[in-house]
Amino acid sequence: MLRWLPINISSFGEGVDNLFTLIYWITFVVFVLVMATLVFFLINYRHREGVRATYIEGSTKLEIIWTAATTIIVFGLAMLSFPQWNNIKSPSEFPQNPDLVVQVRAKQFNWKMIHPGNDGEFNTESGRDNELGTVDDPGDDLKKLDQLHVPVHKTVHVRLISEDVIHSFFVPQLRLKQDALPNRFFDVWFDTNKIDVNPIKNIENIRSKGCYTGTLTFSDANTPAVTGNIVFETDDELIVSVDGELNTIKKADVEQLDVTVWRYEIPCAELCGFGHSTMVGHLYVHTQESYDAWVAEMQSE
Amino acid sequence: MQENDNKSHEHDNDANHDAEHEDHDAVEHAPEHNGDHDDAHAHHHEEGFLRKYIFSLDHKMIGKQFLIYGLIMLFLGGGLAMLFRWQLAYPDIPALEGQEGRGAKPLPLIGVSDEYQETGEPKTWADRYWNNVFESEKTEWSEQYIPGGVMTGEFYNMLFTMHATIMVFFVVVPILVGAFGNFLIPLMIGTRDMAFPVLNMLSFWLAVLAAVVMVSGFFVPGGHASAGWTGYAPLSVDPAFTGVGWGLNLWAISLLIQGFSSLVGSINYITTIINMRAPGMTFFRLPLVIWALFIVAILLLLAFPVLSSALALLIFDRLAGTTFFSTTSEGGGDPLLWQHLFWFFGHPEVYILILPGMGIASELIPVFSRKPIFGYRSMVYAMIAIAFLGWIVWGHHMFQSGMQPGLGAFFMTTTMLIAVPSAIKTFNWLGTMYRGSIRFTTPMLHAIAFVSMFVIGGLSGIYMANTPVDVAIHDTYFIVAHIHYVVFGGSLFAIFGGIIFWFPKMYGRYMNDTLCKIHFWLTFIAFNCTFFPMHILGVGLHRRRIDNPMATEHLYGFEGMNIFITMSAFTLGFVQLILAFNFFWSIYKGKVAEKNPWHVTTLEWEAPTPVPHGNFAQIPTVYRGPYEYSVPGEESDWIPQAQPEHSPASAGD
Repeated sequence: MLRWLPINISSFGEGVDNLFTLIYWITFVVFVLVMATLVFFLINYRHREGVRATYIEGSTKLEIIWTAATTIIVFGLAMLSFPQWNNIKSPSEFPQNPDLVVQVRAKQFNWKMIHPGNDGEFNTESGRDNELGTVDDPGDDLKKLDQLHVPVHKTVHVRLISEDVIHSFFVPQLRLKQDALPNRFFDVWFDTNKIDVNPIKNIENIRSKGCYTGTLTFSDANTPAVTGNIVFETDDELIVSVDGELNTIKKADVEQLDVTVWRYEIPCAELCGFGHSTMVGHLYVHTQESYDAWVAEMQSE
Repeated sequence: MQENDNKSHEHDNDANHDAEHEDHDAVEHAPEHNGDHDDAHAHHHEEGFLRKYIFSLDHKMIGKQFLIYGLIMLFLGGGLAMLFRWQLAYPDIPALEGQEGRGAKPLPLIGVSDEYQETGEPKTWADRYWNNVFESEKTEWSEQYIPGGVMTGEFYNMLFTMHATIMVFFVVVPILVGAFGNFLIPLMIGTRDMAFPVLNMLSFWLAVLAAVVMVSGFFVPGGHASAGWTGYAPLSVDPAFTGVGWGLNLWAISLLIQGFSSLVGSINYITTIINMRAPGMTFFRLPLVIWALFIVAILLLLAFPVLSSALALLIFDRLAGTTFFSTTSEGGGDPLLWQHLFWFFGHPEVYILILPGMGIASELIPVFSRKPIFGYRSMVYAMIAIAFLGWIVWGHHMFQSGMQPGLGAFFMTTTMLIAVPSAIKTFNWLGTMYRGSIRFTTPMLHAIAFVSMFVIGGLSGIYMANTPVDVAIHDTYFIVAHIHYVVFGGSLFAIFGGIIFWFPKMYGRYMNDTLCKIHFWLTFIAFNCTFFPMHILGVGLHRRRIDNPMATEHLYGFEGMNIFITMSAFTLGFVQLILAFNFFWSIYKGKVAEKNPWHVTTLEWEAPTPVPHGNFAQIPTVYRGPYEYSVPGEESDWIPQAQPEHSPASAGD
C-alpha cells in the first residue's frame, strides 16, 4: 500500500515516511491478529447442538495485559514522533540561517510568491511595512503568480499568509502542509536535499520524480539533443515541449537525461471556496545555474 | 380503556416461555416504587390518532418517530453523496502545456450527450430535460448549478457539505440517540416512560423543525451552505467568499435548533437513568447500551452548547456585522477561535456517534454468543475513559492549522491514548465470543461487522494521531476513509443490527430474514469496496473536498480507482432500498413475533409485545446483572434480570 506514496524530496520527509511505514506494520500485524482470532472464534465456537457456552465473566489478568501492551506501544510511538514533529513545525527547532526566505500569499484561488530581491527584504522600496497589508509596489521584490522558484539542495523558509480565507500550503513530495491564516504569518521550512541531481540513465517514472526541464541525449549519436519541458509521460513515451511545440520521444531511444528544473505541485489543501480544486501552484526546483538565470531574467523584466 | 387494560395483562402469550420465568408476575416485590407508578400509569386510556402517532408522549412512539426521521434523512444524505461521487468518477481532464484537455464534460446519464452538443437534437432523456431548461425563460435551479450536466464547484461544495451535515446531525445522532435512546432507556431500566414526556415530544418536534429549516436551505437563492460541515471561518463568515447567502444562515440556525433538541433529550435521558431505574437495577446492573447512552447524554449536554455558542457568534458575524471570526475589518476576530470552538464540540461529537454503537454491539454479542459480556466493568470504565479523553483531544483536528506546535505533542499523546480503551473494548468483544455458542443471526452478523470495521477505523486513526504522519495525510482521503469506517462501518452497522434485533419489540413482528441477510452481505461488500480504496487514495495524498482529482498531476493514476469507488458507492446506496422496503413491509406484513424471540435477559423483553403505553403491567424487580447466559448448573441457558433468586447456583451477579 505504501508504494502509492508520492516520492519524497525533503530531508524531514524521510522521517515522516519511516514513521508511516512503522505504523503501517504495527497496525497491519494488529489487524491480522485480531481478525485471525475473530475468524477462529467464529468458526470454532459456532453454535452446535448440545454444546453450551462456557460461563466466563472476564479476566483481570488479561485486561491488565492488553491495557499495558497498548499503552506501551502508543507511548513508544509518541516518543518517536516528538522530535520529528518539532523539526518540521517548531520555528525554534528549524535549521537557522536559510539560504532563501520567500513570502507566500494565498488568495482565492492563487498563490502569490514573493522573493525579496537583492536587498534580502520584502517591499523595501515602497517604504511601507507590509506585514499584514497588501502592497502593490514590490520594490525590487520578485513576484510570480503560482510559481515558487527555489535552488536545489538549499534550505528555504516560507513566510505564509492568506489575504482572504484559510488556505493550506501543501507540497505532497515535501511532506509539508501548513494552513495559511488571514491574520498572521506562519513560518515553515523545507529543503530539497533528497532530489537526485545526477544525470539520469533510466528513463522510468521521471515525471513522478518531478523531472521537468532538461536535456535529453540519444543513444543514436546522429540525433541532436533535445532541451525542453517534459510535460507528460506514458509507459514508453515522453511528451516534451520545446518552445511551445510538443514532441513525442520514445524512451527507448534516450541515452541520458540531465535535469535543470524539477517541478512539483502546490495544491491548496484546505477548502477555500468553489475554485479550491483548481487552486494549484507549482514549485520549481532549479540547479544553481538555472536558478541564477531565472533571477537574472526576473530582474531584467 | 377497557381494551388496553386487558392487553397489558395478557402478556403471557409467549410460546417459548420458560417455566421458571413465569413466576415473575406473581412476585409482589416492588418496594416503594411500584405503588405510585401503578396509580399513575396503569390506566392509560386509548388516545386519538394525533396523540398516538403525531404528538405522542410515549417514549416508544417518539423513538420510532426518530427512527423513521433518521431513515428518511439517510436517503437524502446518501443521495447527495451519490451525486458528488458521480462527479468524482467523471472529472474534467485539464489541458497539458500547449495541448487541449478534455475540458468540462457533461456527466454521463444526467448530462447532455455529445450528439446534442454537436447537433442540438435531443436524443436522450437528459437531452430533452436540458433542452427544456435552456429554452425556458426563467433560470432554473439546475441551470445555475449543473448547467447541461457539468457540475460547478459551488454545487459540488454544497453537496459534500450537506452530505456530512445531514449524516452527522440528522441521521446518526437521531437514530442512535433519539430512536434507540428513547425506545430502550425506559424499557431496559424498567420504568414506564421518560422522566419528562412533554420535553421528549418537544425534542422530536424541534428536530423536525431543524430538518425543515435545513432542507429549506436548498431552495434559497445562492444555494445551501458550502463551507464544509466544519464551516471554517472566514470562509463561512463572509458571503463574498462562497457566494452563499441565506443558505449558510439557515444551516447555522438549523443546527442551533437541533442543538436545543439534543439538549432537551439529553436532560431527559440523564434524569430518567439516574432516578427511574427499577428496584434492584443498580448502576452496575445496567445493560451496556444504557451505559453508553447515559455517557452520550452527558457528552451531548456538555458539548452541544459549545457548538451553539459558536453558531450564534457566526450568525452575528454574518448578519449583525460583528467580527468574532472575521478578519476583514478592524474587528480583531480570529478564525482559529472558530476551529477551537467547533472541535471542542466536534470531537466529543465523534464519540456521541460511536459510543451507542459500541453499546448495541455489547448487547448483541453476548446474546448471540450465549455468554456474559467479557469484563463488564472494564467495558464501562473504557467507555468513561473514551468519553473523558474525548474532551482533551480536539486539537488533533488542528495540527496543521497554525496552532502552537507544542500543543501538537500534547494532543498527539492524548489522542493515541484513546487506542487503549478502544483496544480494551475490542478485546473484550473477542473475549465474549471465546468459548461461546455463536448463533449467526443477522443482528449478530451486523455486530461482527461492527467489531471488524471498528478495528480498521480505530487503527487508521493512529496514522492521523501521529503528528509527523498527519502533516502528509491531513485533509486527504485518508481521513475520509477513517471517518466512514468509524461512522458507517461502526455506527451504521450497529444501527442496522439494532433495528433488526429490536424490531420484534418495536412492531411486534420480525423483519424478513432473507432480505436482511441479502442486505447485510451486499452492504458489507459494497461498503468495503467503497471506503477501503479511500485509504489508498489517502496514501497517494489525494486531497479531499475537491471536485476534480485530475486537477493535480500526482493523482492521474487514480482515475480508475475513483470510478470503482463511485460504482461501489452506488451499489451501497441502492442496497439500502432493500432495508427500507423490508422495514416498512415488515411493520405490516412481517411474521408475528413472540415476546422474547432471541431469549434475552434484559428487561425490555419482559414487557408484552407490542408494548402497551406504560410498558409493564407491573414494574419488574431486578435481581442480577444483564448478561447471565449459560450459567453453570442452570437448566436454561439464560436467566432474565427480573427472575427472582430460586437456587444457590445463580446467586450473586
